[in-house]
Amino acid sequence: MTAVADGEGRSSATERWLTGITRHPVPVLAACIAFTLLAGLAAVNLLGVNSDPIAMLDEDLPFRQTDERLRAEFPDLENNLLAVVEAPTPEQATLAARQVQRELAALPDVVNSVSWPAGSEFFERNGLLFLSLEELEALGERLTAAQPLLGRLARQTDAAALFDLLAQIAERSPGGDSMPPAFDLDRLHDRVAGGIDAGLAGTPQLLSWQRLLGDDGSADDGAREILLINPVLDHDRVLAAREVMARMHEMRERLGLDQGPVRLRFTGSAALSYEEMRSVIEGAGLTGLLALVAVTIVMLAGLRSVPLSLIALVNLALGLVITAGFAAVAIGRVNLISVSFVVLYIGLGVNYAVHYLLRYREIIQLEPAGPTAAIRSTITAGRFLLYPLTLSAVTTALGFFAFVPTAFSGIAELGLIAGVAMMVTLLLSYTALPAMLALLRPRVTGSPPALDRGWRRHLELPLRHRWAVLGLGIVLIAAALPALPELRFDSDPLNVRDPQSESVVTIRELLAGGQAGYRNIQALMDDAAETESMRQRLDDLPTVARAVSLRSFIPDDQDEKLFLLEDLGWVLGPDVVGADWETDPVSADSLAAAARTLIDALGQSDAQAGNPASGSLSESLARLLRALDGPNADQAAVAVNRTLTAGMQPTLGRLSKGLQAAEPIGVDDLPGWLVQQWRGQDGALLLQVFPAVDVLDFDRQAEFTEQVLSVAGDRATGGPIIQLEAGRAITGAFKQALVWAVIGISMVLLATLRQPLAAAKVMAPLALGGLLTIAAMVLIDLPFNFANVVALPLLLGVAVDNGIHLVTRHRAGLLPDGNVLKTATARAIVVGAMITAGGFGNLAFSPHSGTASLGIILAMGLALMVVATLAFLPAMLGRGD
Amino acid sequence: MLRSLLFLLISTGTAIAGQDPANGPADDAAAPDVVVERLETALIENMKAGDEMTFEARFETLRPLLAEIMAVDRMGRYVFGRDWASFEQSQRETFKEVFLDLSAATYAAQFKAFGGESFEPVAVQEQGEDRVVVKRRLTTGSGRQIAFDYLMTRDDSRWQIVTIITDGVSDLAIKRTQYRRILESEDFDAVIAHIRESIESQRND
Repeated sequence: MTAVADGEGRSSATERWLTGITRHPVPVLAACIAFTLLAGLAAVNLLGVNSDPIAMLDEDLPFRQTDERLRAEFPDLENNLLAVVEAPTPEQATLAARQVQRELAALPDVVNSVSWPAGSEFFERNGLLFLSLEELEALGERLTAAQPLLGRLARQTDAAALFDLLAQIAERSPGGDSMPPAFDLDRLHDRVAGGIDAGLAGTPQLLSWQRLLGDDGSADDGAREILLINPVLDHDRVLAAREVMARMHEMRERLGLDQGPVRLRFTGSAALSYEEMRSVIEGAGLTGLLALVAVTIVMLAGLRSVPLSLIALVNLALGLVITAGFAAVAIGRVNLISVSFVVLYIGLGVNYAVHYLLRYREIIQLEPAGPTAAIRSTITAGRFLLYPLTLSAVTTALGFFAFVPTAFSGIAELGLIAGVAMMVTLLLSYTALPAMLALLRPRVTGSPPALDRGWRRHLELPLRHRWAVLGLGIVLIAAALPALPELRFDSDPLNVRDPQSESVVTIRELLAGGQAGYRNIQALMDDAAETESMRQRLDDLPTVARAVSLRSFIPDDQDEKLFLLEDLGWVLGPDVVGADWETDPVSADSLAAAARTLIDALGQSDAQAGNPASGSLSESLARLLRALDGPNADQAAVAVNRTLTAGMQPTLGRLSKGLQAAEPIGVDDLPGWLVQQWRGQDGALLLQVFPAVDVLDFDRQAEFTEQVLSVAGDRATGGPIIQLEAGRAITGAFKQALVWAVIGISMVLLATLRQPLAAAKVMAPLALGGLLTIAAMVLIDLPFNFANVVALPLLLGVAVDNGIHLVTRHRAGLLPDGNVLKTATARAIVVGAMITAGGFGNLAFSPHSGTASLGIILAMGLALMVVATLAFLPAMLGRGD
Repeated sequence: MLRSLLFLLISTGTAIAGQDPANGPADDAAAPDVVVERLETALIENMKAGDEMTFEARFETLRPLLAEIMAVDRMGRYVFGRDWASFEQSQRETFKEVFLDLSAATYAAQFKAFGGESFEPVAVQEQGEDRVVVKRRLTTGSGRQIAFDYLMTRDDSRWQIVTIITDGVSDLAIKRTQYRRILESEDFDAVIAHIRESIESQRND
């Protein structure tokens, strides 16, 4: 038994070390605390958070340089805020968007700039040139058909004029054929009736002239306007957009756009990351408290001692702060993935203390009571555990260090931090922990909670039915194996966020409607000719909806369109083209007179041919007359006048402006704000590639990305590419690291356990537990993502540690009934797992989806890992001495 | 030197005339409001003649005048849009003839009895070099006022009427919607047939 001889040799050195520590607990502890304070200081002052997902990727990836250049050339592209105005009608959306734009312009301390492309002077003036020739012709026909109506209302824009006109149409008086049947009279009557009713009821609704004049009379789903905000962000704060968002929400409430049919919502990268951070913080507050409570309860239950639990918690806190200090000094910042070292540290670090303290507890109860019992127990427990704890620390650290050489810096940095953390834990377990034990000398009364006889019988199962258990293990491995290739990494950052948050809901709606430039790919080009040929090639790709460059804002067939517009100007006449379309005031008396005339006219025409639409219009008019006869006549007149005609200005005002377009647009005519979005500060030309596929479906998005990359190569960058590359990098990093970890851990196990079979036995439950966890994830359709991927190395570390502890305990002998499951070691494994699960299982309740999924995987995976270790390892080891 | 100075004077003069077509130094007979007045005078005279004139007589007085003062080629283009250019030359001529017939018939049918009507000038609005709106007001015997806006264009230095907008309603827009619908569902001949039917119905009105 050379291993035992070696163990004894180490023991004497360990004993000297621990004797020294326990003799001078105060200076040792003081040194530990001083070092921790230093580390804490470093962490607070030096440790930054880089929440940019792209920062986690290898800097040598081809698109990284393009991305750097893109950010330098177009700084406004990132960190933008989208104000999304939604309303039942296009007119209400336009009016509300105008109001929001004005309000935003008045907030220069939180808004650098705001642009509303659709409502800009440039697009109002030239918008019609951006229609296709066919669309423009069709619009011309509709306007021509409506000319008699528009011509009248242009001269007098009020509800009385509208009623007079409808009356004349009903009587077919002006020239007999002045209202051609092209104009859908039933629809007009119906809408006017609706407008009257809405005005009388006081509902915020406008008669939509766009719908009325449009060819899509049935499409009554809401309208949307999008404003682009460049917000002032305070990067010194974790919630950089906090002030902006607070002011936005305050403005929204003031304008009454927070609820009701016309509403304003915010999304865009700044809002998304703000709400994500807020949900993480909210989640952390709640789950952190729950975790602390749960961990304390489990510790108290498992250790059955307040001072022992206190020692474990203090030891944990010291290690956590020291590790953070190391991260600050060595790396300087944590990223989205490495920030979860906290989770890792607590999950793994607590096991070292629990093993030590439970062993201490086991030994002190065998020791004769006396003043030196605690010291002796501390030393003995430390001596016994040096070998398994060191081996655990080394193998687990190896598992983490295996990530360091991978191309994915997010994971590589986590590997470095976590690997060092294991060393920190080991060191603390042999400095601060024994010092605290020597200082407090906790007496332990009573035995740890005993399992009842029934349960103790179950502990015999793996030994009594060894072959059945092992067979079951093999069957389970075979059953779980096919799930392995099904496991996905979900690199969509939207999927880790709170699915109910406003920014996520809104951006999903925009993406579904193809209205957001959120999942575009950007390509940077150097000159116009190159841009145009690239644009054409990208445009031809089946997964690309359209590729847009600055030149896309120069319409095609301008001469023909301008010719059409000129003709249209003659046909519609100067009144229609030149009107301002602002609602004219109308008195209650003249409105009542016009309403009466219309009722009469409708009655006559209905007598000739039964018309249901005009029937409902007559009823609405009668209601209006009653209101105009009442005490609030003036109010009713104003309200009805508004619902019927206030919608004209946003629609017809824009049309009138558009009809006056006379000159073709050249590149030099494009407005500065537009050029700025497409021509960089150093002259690079931007191409935006819009997907034609559902980018919320990862496979579709990947297909789109691959196609664009095949054409644009390293000139392309953007969210979908980052996601694809991040997914690849993570998957690659994990595969590579897994191989290295398995090789490294196996070699260490071989070197220390000196028996290939023993090493294989330690690794076997790891494989089984890991496979079962992955199978379970596939089964409940829970992919890995940026937030939960850390669970894998954590589970790996726990499983290796548990295996080592059981194997070494089995070798040490003196097992109750020869069953390793009845030892303090098995108990420590269960307590450690319960602490980790108790601490992190409640992450499942976090509003942040990524954090919640981490909680689920940890709880599930730990259970499977521990069961695999406790059931199958003893079955493999057999009954011991 | 003298030649170029003269040229400058002439071109400046034309430019002034172009900018101010209503009061320019060009021939008064060709000024847009004068053109409009010729039509209105003819209409009033027809009305004053009352029963002394038959429909045919009124038609005959108006038809040559309208041929002179209506930009009927432009009207064809504005009514038929891009299709106008694709018609045969003979088709375009046919349309112009029957359209003038229809216009004369419409005026002959509607302006046949005098009840104290009078036209008064309201304004002349210039809208670019070759486009002007002559705004007039018809006051009926009962005092009702109807706005007549003559949208005019200048071709070969002659001012001609493109359309008349009555209380905001453009005759050209109405015709365009009617004729294009027929053209889409049937053909050019059907449009001509429709116009001829309208003329007949005006005659029998």
